[in-house]
Amino acid sequence: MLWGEGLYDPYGLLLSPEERSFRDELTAFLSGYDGIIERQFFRGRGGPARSLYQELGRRGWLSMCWPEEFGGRRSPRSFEFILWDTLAYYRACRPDLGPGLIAHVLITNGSDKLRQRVLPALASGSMSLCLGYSEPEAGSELTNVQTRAKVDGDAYVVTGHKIWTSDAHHASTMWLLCRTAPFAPGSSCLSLLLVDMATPGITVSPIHTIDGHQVNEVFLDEVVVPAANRVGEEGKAWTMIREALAVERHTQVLPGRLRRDLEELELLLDEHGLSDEPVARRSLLDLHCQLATVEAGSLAAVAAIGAGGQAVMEAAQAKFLGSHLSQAIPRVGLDLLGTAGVIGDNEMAFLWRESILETIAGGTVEVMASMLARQGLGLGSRT
Amino acid sequence: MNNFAPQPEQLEFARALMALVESRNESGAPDASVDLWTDLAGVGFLGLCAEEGGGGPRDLVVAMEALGRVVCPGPIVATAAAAHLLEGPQLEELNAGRLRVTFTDGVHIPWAESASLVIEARGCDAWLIADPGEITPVRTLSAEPWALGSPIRGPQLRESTRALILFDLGLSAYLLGCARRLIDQGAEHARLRTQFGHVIGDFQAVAHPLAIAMAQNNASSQLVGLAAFEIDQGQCDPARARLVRMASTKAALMAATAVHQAMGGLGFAIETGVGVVSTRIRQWSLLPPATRVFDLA
Repeated sequence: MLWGEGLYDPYGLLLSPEERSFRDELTAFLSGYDGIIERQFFRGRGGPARSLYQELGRRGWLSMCWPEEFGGRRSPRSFEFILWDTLAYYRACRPDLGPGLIAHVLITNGSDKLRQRVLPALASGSMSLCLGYSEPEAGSELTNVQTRAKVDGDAYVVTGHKIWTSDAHHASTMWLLCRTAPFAPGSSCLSLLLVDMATPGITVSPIHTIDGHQVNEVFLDEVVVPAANRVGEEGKAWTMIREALAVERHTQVLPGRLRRDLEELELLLDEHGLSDEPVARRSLLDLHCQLATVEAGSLAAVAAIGAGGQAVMEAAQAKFLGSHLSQAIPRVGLDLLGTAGVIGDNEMAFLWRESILETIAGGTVEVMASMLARQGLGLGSRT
Repeated sequence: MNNFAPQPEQLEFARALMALVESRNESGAPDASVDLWTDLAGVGFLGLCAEEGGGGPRDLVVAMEALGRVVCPGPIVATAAAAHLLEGPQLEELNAGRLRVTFTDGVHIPWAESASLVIEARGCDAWLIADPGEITPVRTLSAEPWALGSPIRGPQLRESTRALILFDLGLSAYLLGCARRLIDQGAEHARLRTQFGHVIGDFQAVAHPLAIAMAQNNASSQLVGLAAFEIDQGQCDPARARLVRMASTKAALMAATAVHQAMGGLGFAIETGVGVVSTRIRQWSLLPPATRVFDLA
């Protein structure tokens, strides 16, 4: 299933010649790349996904939207979207954290030394990161982070407990949100540190999930982190990550993944001779309507970001609608396929379990709805 | 007006069943142990629907909802419904807890390894399976031991319409029991978990989906009770039973969605058991013979 092989191309009229050329080059690369294992997209950012990131890095694709002075090509942000959206369609990998969210914060806020040390590793895809954000008492309320980093000479000594940390079991570095002196509550004393995961005092413990994969708890017990690893000013992390999260959110649920999910459902219905059933046709039409709106919303977010905007509303809308659609497709799939869908290693059964997390991880749909209510309607809704 | 709500003795029996399953520590297991099966027979549950079993559809649905609440394993719905189909030595074996019955659509055979009797059902007709043929075990969404086969029909069974209606109603009640267990677990979490200075149950975005799921679940449970009452009064309508099964399936799946969302990452982690119940609801909602939404329409 390649773009241009008779399938509807939702982005057909929108792409510039350069963007189209890049997508063609990427598609050609992926067609010849034999390192993608089954459902790699859903298996985290280590192993084969990391090898793929490195291949992308070798081609300069991970850093192409960065400024030239940091090794990039200053390509429009739409190129990043095309990259990750196409990879999602191929079930190859999710966006690598380093070159996107983390690099953009580092470029804007990091020290020269930190940029020189870290950005090349992010551009090459060799540095694997995990986000040390959520804690047992800081889920949706991220400003309630309790992990503490106390200054001791030219280092911080960090103690705390992170949870729901994807990729911690194969990440080399944690992007850690922690509380620094004077340890006041709320968002005012939050800082960002880059923590080497091999540092003594770090314990990673798996949480096995219902999709057959794992997330992790990470315990930090007096972990010594050089002060030079702090990103930006002490106590200013909240502004940095809030802005970065808002911008990056539009790549959290990529329409390419949803289009592929829907195509998988259509293939299964064909396989079982159900495609012409009236109820199947009605259901598919409804899913296609939803997909079309999600694609349009995502493209609007990309366009707004490309025009220099923050696109917070558009990105929240894309996450809200996209994550709901990711659940609707397998739910409809299992309704239509019936028993055939829940036996064996059926793609719809897998997606049914996996997609449960999509409306929760990376900002719940309730938080997204609150953002939309506040910013779009002036309603002071709570989560 | 006649009251179709559960009666005190039915509720007492339901509580006893729940205690029994919990005492065996088999909630959520892929299949029932021999001991649990013997216990279920011993208290009269498996033979409840037999003509001489002393129970009726109303007893069945109250009992089955209770068994859903404790996520009782094994082919309990098919076996209980089959008590209405079987007679003679087979019924005696069933009543003694030595017979497990599963329903097939001619392809899918749930609990194929442990079932000692397979019945194929199509529409309102049912046949004993003379030879299950070659069995191929398959993985399932909820990790229960199903198989694919090419069973060969034996003799057609009597009174199958009523038995298949009982199956649909019993299954509906079981699904709603599972859903109620999830709703209670989600509400408990929402009462305890604090974010933004409040327990999350204070937020409408969390409370309302759970409340709506509960309302839908309660109404569906009342519908199951009403349908059972109607059968008790001699009104056996397969289309009505299938409508009840569709409504109950929809309500139970809605509850699973609401609870997963309310519980966040905890609901996605295996250790809390939410996934065991939600996948069971999805899997059992497709139990043969009605294995697709078309079959219920």
